[in-house]
Formats: sequence, C-alpha cells, structure tokens
Amino acid sequence: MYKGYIVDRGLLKKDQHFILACPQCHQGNGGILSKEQAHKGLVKRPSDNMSNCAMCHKQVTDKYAKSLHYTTAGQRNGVMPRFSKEELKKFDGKVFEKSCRSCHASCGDCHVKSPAVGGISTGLLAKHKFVRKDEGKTCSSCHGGRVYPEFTGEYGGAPDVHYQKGMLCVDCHKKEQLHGDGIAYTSKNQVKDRPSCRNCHKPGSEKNPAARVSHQTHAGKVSCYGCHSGGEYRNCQQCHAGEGAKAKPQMILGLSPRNKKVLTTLRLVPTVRDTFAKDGIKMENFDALPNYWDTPAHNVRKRTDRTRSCDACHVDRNNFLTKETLIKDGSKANEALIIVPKPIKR
Amino acid sequence: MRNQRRFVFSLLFIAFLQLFFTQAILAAVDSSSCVTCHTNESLIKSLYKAPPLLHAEEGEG
Repeated sequence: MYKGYIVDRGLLKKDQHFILACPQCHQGNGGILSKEQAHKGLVKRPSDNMSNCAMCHKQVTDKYAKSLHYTTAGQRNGVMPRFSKEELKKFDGKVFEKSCRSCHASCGDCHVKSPAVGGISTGLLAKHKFVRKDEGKTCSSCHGGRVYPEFTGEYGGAPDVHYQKGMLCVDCHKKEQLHGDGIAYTSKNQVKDRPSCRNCHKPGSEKNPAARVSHQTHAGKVSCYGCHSGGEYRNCQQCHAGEGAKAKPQMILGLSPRNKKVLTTLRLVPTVRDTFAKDGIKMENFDALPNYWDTPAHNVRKRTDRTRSCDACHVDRNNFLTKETLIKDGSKANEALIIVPKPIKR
Repeated sequence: MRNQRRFVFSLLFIAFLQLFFTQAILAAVDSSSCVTCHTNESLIKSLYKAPPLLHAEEGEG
C-alpha cells in the first residue's frame, strides 16, 4: 500500500528523531533524485541494528536485546526437548535462524511501521511518527493468528470482556515486560511479573457470594481461564515447514503440562511428528512433550457455561480432553493431561 | 563584571551556533530527495509497486 511510504513533512520540524537526515538511519543516498540511485544500499529496517536506537535509548535497547520479543528464544526452547543433540544443531542452523528468528520484533516494528506478515505490511503507523504504542497495527500483526482476533471477537464468539471495556494489549502487558528487564529468559513462563488476573481481581473482593465460594473451592485447582474463557478459540495443527498449519475453533480443557495439579484451557501445539521432516529432522524425542500447552485464552468473559452451572464440568464434562478427542498420532505425553472431574456430592 | 559579560556572550554565541546548525541540518533534511519524494503522495502512488504475495501465513501468538 503506497500510503505506507508517505512521510508527514510537518514531523520533520517537530520530532527530534528527524534532526538526523534520513540516510543517517536508512543509508541510501539523499542527494540523488533517481529512485534507483537514491535507494542503493537502502536499509529498510534500520532498527534491526539496534545501535541506531541505542544512540539515545541505550537503557532500553540494552534490555530489549535480551527480551523474548527480540531473541524469540521461547520458540526455540519450547520445541527443543523434542530433539536429540544432533537434531538440535540441525534445527538451529536450518530452521531457527532462517525461520523462527526472522520473526523477531525490532524497535521499529512497534514504534514506526507495522511488521510484515506473509511479506505484507500495512506500512508506516502514522506517516513515520515515532509512536509510543498502536496495538491494533503492531501487536495485532504478529499475534493476529490467534490471540488478537480472539481478544477482539473477530475470530467469532464474544470479544474479551477487557476489550469491551476499552482495554488493549499494553494495559496488561506493560512496556517494562515488552522491552524486557535485562534478563535473557528462556520462556515467558519464567517472567515473575507477567500479567496475572489477580493483579486487578484480588481474591476475596468478589461482590457475589456464590462467586467468592466458587473461587475459594477451585483455588489452586483450576486456572481463571478454565472457567472464564468464553468459548472456542483457535487451535492450529499439522504445521509443516513452508506449508503452514491448519486451524479450527475448539475449546480444550485438561491438566496444565507445566503444573499437573491445575485444570486449565489447553491449546494445540502446531508441531506434529513430521513438521521438520523436510529439513531432515525426525524429532527423536517427540514424545517428551505433549501436543497441548496451557494457554491464556484471550476471550475472557465474566459469565460462561462453566460459571453458570457446576454441571457443565462435573456432569456433562463439556470440552474436556478425552482419549477419543486426542489428536491422531500425537505424543505419548498427551494422555497425562486428561482429567475426569469428580461428581459433586449433593 | 568582565567575566560575567564573557559568560553571557559565550552563552549567546553557543545558542546562536546551535540554532544555526539545527536550521542548516533541517534545511538539508527538508530539501533532500528522500523528503521530496516521500512527502509527495501522488508521486509515491505513481512509483509504488505492490510486493509479491508470499505463501499464506498468519500471525503467531
């Protein structure tokens, strides 16, 4: 879209970033009027080299260089246990650096220009203004397959109650978390101060006595999402390098692979046995991990089938993972996530 | 008294230099071919070529 390349001339005198001439960040040649010559050596994404931003924002860039958004270490470490040592070397060289790592977000992806997905970007966020945030054009691009459309209701079903109340990504995922705190985490689950429902919804503060009792009864046994996920969310599976994945809406309830004492919403991991077959990686330890991970489904509702009636889980067992509903040829670790809720003594 | 005058004069001189160079830089930025083209909507529209569409891909997360 050509509009994505148009710069607001008025910004040049207002914004300190433009005190430096364009080639200072973008290279190329500002003095020549032929398009080809002017663009020779052009750097499209100057913030890929963070030293450009570090000239003024060193404190942020130093931390950001270790953040999960930049390192994408979560993707590597999430699948790593499935590989033998030799396979991991192959994965790092053939897949991670060329595919997963290409998704890393640079400063400009959030503050200047929408990140490209499938080769397409909607262009400059606000005519090259350096914006603090614009979740609908930035977060939504990379997280637009599952989380963002679930949150806004575009995937079907009702939008997340927080979205309806006017909240967006950065209201829960604070800038300190997005920029990182200088620690090179291997997974988002290691981050201690990541968003938590309880940061705002303090236990015991419920106005409705039935809700208070229900929260006390299920504390430590069921995650908030287990009851408050509004319905089906997107589950991608059968992902193959270069082909992409297939998706379908589902709600899956089962034990969290990270804490088998807690019932929660599960989401299918797109990786299947032959995902990396084209790259010569068989995944010798495929069964070390299940095909489902606990997921913070971003379609939270105050009232759901499960908050209205105990029977939804304790009698009907709606959406619970069973042997029959496990994916075919899945990991042997999947069965450990099945839970059968106990009947209630009335 | 003389030192005070020198100090004030130095301050004014530095301010003048800063203003001069900032304006000079801004003028250079403003007249560069980057700015000439990228602030001209009709020109950019005429030069724009849509990028090739890669395989269908949706966001992560």
